[in-house]
Amino acid sequence: MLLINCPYCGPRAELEFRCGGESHIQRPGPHGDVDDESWADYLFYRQNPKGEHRERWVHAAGCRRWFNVARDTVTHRINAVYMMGESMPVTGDVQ
Amino acid sequence: MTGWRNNAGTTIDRARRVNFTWAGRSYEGFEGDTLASALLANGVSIVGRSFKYHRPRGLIAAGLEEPNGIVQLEAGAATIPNMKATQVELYEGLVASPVNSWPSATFDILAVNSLVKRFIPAAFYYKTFLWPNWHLFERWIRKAAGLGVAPQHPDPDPYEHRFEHMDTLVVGSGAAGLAAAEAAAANGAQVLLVEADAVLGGGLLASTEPVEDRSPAEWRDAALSRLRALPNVKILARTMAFGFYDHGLVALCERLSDHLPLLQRSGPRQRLWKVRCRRAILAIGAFERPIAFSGNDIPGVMLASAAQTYALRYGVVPGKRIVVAANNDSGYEAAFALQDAGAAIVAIVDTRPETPMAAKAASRSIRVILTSAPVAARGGRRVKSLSIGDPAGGSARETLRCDTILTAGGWNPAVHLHSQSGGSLAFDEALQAFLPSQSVQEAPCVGAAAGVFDMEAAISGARAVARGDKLTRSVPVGVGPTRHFADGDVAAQRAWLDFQNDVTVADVQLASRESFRSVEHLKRYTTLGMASDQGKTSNVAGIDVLSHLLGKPPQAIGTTKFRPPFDPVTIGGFAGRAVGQDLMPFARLAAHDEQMAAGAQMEQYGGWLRAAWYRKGDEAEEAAVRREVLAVRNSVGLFDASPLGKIEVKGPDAAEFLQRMYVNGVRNLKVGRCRYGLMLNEHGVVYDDGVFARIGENHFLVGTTSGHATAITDIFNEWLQCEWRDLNVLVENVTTGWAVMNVAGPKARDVLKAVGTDIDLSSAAFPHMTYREGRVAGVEARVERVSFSGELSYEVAVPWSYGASLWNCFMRAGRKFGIAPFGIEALMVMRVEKGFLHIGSDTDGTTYPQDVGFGPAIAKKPDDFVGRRSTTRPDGLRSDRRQLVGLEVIDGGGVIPIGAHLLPRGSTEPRGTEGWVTSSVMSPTLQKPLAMALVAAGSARMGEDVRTWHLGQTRRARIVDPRAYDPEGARLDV
Amino acid sequence: MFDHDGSAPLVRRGPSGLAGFNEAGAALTLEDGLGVGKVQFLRGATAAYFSDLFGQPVPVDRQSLSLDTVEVSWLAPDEWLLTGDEAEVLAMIGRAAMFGDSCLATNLSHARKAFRLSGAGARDRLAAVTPLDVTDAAMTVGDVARAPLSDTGMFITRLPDSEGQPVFRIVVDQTMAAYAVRMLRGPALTPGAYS
Repeated sequence: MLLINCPYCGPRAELEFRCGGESHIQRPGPHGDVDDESWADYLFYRQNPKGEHRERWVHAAGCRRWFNVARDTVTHRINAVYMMGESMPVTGDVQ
Repeated sequence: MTGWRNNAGTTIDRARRVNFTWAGRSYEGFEGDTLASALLANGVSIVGRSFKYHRPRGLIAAGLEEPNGIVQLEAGAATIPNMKATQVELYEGLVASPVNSWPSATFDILAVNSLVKRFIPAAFYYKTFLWPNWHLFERWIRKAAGLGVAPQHPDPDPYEHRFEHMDTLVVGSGAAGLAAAEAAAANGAQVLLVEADAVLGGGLLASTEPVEDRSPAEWRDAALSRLRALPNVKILARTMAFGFYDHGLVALCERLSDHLPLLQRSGPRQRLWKVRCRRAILAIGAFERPIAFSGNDIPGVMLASAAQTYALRYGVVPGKRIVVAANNDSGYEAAFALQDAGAAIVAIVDTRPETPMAAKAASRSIRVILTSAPVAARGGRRVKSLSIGDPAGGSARETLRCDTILTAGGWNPAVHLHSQSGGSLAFDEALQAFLPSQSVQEAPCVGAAAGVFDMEAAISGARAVARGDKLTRSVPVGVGPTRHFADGDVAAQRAWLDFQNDVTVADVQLASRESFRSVEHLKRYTTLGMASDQGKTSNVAGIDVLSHLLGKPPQAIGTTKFRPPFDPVTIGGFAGRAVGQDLMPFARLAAHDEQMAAGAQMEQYGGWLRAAWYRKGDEAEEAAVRREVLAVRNSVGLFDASPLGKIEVKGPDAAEFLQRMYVNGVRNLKVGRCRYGLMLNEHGVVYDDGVFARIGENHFLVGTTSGHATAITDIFNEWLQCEWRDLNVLVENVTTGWAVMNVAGPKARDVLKAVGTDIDLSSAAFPHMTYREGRVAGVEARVERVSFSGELSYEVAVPWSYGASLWNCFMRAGRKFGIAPFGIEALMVMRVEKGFLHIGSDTDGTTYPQDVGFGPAIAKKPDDFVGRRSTTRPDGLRSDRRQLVGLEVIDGGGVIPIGAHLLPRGSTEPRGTEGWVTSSVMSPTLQKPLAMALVAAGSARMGEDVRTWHLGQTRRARIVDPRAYDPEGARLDV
Repeated sequence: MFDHDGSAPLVRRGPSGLAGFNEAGAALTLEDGLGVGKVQFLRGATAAYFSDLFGQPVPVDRQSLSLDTVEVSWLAPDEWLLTGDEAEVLAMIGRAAMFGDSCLATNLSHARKAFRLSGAGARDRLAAVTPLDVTDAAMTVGDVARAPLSDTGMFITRLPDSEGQPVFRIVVDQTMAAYAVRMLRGPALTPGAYS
């Protein structure tokens, strides 16, 4: 059970949040120009790393704001929390 | 009858006698006893039967690692199966009995299993799946196996949860725990000290060694009184830390009333704590290892430390003539304590060639037999003798007559919580045990849990760790050798490792021969460590056997994964208050009471209690639904539509946003008009629908299906915050702020007029699919002229608190038109008559919009919307997609069951399916059965006759347009 | 214009079956008739509009601003909860129309139910239902939060202490009000489960 530092509300228990999966995924478009492969890439293919994972979470029971989390999938250590729309900060765990 | 009570005991109150019943007989103990100590004091030496062979078993431990003393506590609703007798505090009137024995523990018919033991070896269960046939064995195994009996009644006890936030959590109140708590609290930190036992003190309660020049009891009392004086220290006894999760979250189970007589209990039985701490100091102690030798499960064989605990804490001596088998010095301390308690120590058998303790034993006239190990215990229902031999192997060289054998095989630090927290383990050759190595979280181990067995070193180490220093551990005094069995030695079949699950050394040998050599495979194959004690006494011993067989060091073999809970936790504890009506709290309608008075048959729909139908007089459901439908078709009905989702969407880009969220066009909708909207998920699958109204140029009121209001609001916010951050849109879910009464039927306008409104209700001023604001019965109202029934219909929304009153108003005003309240069932019949889609009934997780008639609408819309691209993946372009159609029954029969399959063309046998019936009703309006179905290439097959098949019944039907009633919608345009 | 047909004008009625309690050191009182509203501004527009609407500078995040009869509490960036005198809350919501499409102001007085939880045992009651840290150090007077209350959600703010004991205002969805009160009250403390 993680303790997630909501950028708006401060540290809160994981049960207040919902994870939206990998972040920084670009939605391809316009729809008429997207081939099947790129669309499948967008819908289904994920990095699933052993190590630091950039994912988006929403503070569902609190401010209901989405934000990004850099979490280590092995240790569950959270290396960074940053806003939606922000680019990935460099954390100690990025090779 | 071997155990007996002397006149000692530090944690019992001899002034307070306690009566209890065991296996139908009455006994007496003292307050402060556990059920185990009281049974032992009364000379009960068989406390249960083993799981597989039903061998007689006695207590071997005094704590939560006890594998044999598994009891069924109390009867009826209060019964709790599989409690450990060592953890049950004695109270007046307690009733308990052994599990897994019939007719009694002392005489068990299934003990014949023991005679055929060589036919039911390890993995017997798995092998019977293959040969000859599991079912031949199943009934017999089901009866023989299993422990206690699950309660048949609802749990009478309440439970609760508690969240806590702490700087430092200290687990364990032995010397190390007390020292750590005090040192941690010294700088003002908030400290929570928890102890699983009823009495604080841990090992101090059963020790005779002086601590910092005081007796253990004096040291404990002084430390406790200092701690209790600190305002920043909270102490919880009877509280088990059972799980260590991420980021410093530790779960505790506090037993609040289990120790009280049943009739004195009140309030919650247990409290489940979720403690978020910056740091946890683990001072959980260690478990003593049993020694594997032939006959080591005969009642009378016990852990030396357990015997010491029984003698010192409870004044209970487990036997009269005791042999101590040891490979380390702790066995001597136990022998001395038992001698002082009044038992005769026949001998101390030590595998080591020398020890300074031998001289001390000699000064007490105790015979010490060095370089010797136990070979075989003999006895039936009680130990009679122990033969001993060389630790390196060979035959026995002497037999010692005794009634009790105490084993001191070394100690395994309780690394469970450390390991759960992510910490790694390292095997210590000297101690022959796994010790905590690296920590991932702030969770240092201290004292015996860290492999520090010297009391004063444990205390100073705990203080240092609590202050933030690193634990320095001096080289430990090691343990002596262990006598091993040769692979195939028949004596190994009688040398137990896991007592509860009846796993012997021979079973591990067999598994190894059959190549189950990973420790995790070994566990599953033999069930070693899978009992309710989760291997606390058996795992390391099993790893030792495997290590010896494979010639691999234990570090290379490793341990099985430690998972929560450390000790079993009552399911009620996890449930907390989420039971009964509070398991899933339902929302109630504003007019709930009024509808109940009108005969509402309430059911749960999407988290709401709503009327399925209204009973009038003694009519049955079918008649009621028919009556309600006909009332709406012929005159007027009233339906509570309050749960329909209502979301306000506002902002300069509101129309653009909704244009992207819905299949339908939104941008061109005029202010004051409504439109049906179909929503997909990004996978193109139909997800929700509803009617949205443009209530201002840049302001929409979006309707969702009942129960989806929160989900759709969340989806809107996710797209706005994550994907389309350039759109300026605000969203608010106002569903529970507005009660909505749907008045429907040809007389709906008359009723609404009679209720009183300043809205012009004429067809020209307020046509179908429009929205008006005004006053209804004097209150602000939002009115949509929309219809799911196919009749003239108004959905009148007023602020929620007026909902009940509005319901009454409509019922009064509609009386002269014969207004009938109608429920979900009638509405569902009417929408099937109209061929209206019901998402979740007529769609599933593969349904695209083109399957339910939205192909042309999509073709007309140039813009992208959520899920659009997914609908044109190759699967979406298949010509045989299942499409929603109507079915007309042509065999003269009644309603075709929902779920009936459509047989492939020309087939009369259920081979393959071309779709299935999704909705099916008897139409009171058309007086014939109607159905809707998802059918392969259905829309191109209008007029085709098909067969349906359901549980052996074949029916004939014709594929038709689903709009059976008023297909032109003339009744809506009035 | 109104053809009442003998019908009485509508009567206002809150969720049924709701009652406060005062036991074991904690008292819960229903705040009947408390106005509740919400004001949302487009992203980043708070700085421009807040003081026009409320006549005060923007308070610190996670805190509330006390006006004469209304509290304006931070809920999330650009999102404010109004609690207090219902007429005044409605008046503020009405005034928010001046910001046009940059602001969504909604009257939630009917959608929510508010109560006060106070007394020495108030924090224990809260600790049983929410992971939010409501200790004195973590939540001071004027602090606000949205957090779980068992299986529903709540808005909570700490009001000024009364008789040296903490007072919390809790606002929940009205459909979950009875559930919230049951959760805060806990199981009956009377013996006899086995009698």
